[in-house]
Order: sequence, then C-alpha cells, then structure tokens
Amino acid sequence: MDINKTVQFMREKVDPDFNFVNKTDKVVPFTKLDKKIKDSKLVLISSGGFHLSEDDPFDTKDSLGDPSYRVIPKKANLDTLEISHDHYDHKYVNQDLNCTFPLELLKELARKEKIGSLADNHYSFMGYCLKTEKLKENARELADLLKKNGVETALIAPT
Amino acid sequence: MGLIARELESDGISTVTLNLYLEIAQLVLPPRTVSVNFPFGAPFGDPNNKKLQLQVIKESLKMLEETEEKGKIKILNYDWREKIK
Repeated sequence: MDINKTVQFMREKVDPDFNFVNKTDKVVPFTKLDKKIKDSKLVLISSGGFHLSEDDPFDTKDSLGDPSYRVIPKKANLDTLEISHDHYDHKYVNQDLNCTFPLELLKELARKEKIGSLADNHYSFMGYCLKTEKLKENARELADLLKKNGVETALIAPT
Repeated sequence: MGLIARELESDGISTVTLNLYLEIAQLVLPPRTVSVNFPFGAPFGDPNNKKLQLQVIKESLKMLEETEEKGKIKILNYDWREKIK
C-alpha cells in the first residue's frame, strides 16, 4: 500500500495538515513481560467500533473520528454486539466475530490454561481517529483501569 | 492502535499489536507488532477458519512472552484462507 497516497487522500478529504503520527525518532516504550502468558492476565482491545446494544454508539459523523472507548464485559452475549464504524467492510465480522474480536477463542485458550486468565472487561475503540491527543488521554485512563484490575498483558487488534 | 499500545506500555502493561498496514506500524512503532497479510476487517484471518485464527493469536502471544527487542515487527506469512493442518 502506498502511504503517500493515503496521506494525500486524507489531506484532500479531511484535514489539509494531515500526517501520520511519526515516532521513529523517539524511544519506544517497552514493558518486558516477567512471567509466562499462562500465568498472566490478558485483555483484548479492538478498533472495530464494537459496543453493547444498550450503550451509546460511536460518533461516526465526526470527520475527525471518535476517541472514546466502550466496555465489552467477558460475560456479555457477543451475539448482540453492535458495530458503529463505517471505515471497514463488515462482511467478515458479520460471518464470524473471531475474525476481529476473538474473545471466544481467548476464552477457550484460558480454559486450556494456555492463558492465565482473561480480564473481566474487554474494550473497543473505533479505528480511524485523528483526535490523537484525546485518544492518548483515554488510553492512559484505560491503562490505569487495567492495572487496578491486575491486567498485565494486552492483545490489540486493528480493523 | 499503535498509539494506544504505546500508552498502555508506558504504564506498565505488555502489549502486542496486530497490523494490517505495515507502513503505519513502521511510523508509529508500537512496542511489539505482528503484521498479517489479511484484508481490512479481519486481522485474525478469514471467517470460520478457527485453526488459522488460533495460530495468529498464539504467534502474537508468543511474541508478547519472548520478545525483548523494542519496536520489533514480526511478519506472519500466512495466506488469507490458509488451511492449517
């Protein structure tokens, strides 16, 4: 994929000053995992725009995106998950949620003791967000929440 | 999602981030990236291909457990709709 074409498209359609965030000159944050996955608590975080039917949908009208996130409890009925995200084709996820949000497969791995445990809550953002400062602020808030709940590892998936 | 991964990692949570657009991972530099050659909307593989989806998850968790190289990008060469034996 040609990233310059994507940048040009975004500048024409959304924000004339658009640029992807560039961290190549900065330090990469890194927390070495000091235990095995089979002894760790894991959270799944998706950018698929998933939310419970009783929760507010994401704002799909704002051309700069929606930096908020939604909680998907481990015990939620995943058959009733809704998607508010117009920037990807839902044809795969409509057939099988595990393509994008494989919570059922992670539960299976936890039952087989390949993963220590799963967090009680998992999370979805809506990908495509140009409000990066607010997104980072929300991610820091989420990180604090995860730590309070003993979560040590995160599997993060785009759409 | 790389930005979110970086914030979590800065706060002490170990993360692995799947990627469908390699050039973005090379710019944003998430702490650990697993790049897959799948279409948008299906980072874990095609619908109802449980073996492939599990393989992507296991490879991702393995990287989370083993990698000590900051910003490493691991490229998985599975084909879309590949049948895993």
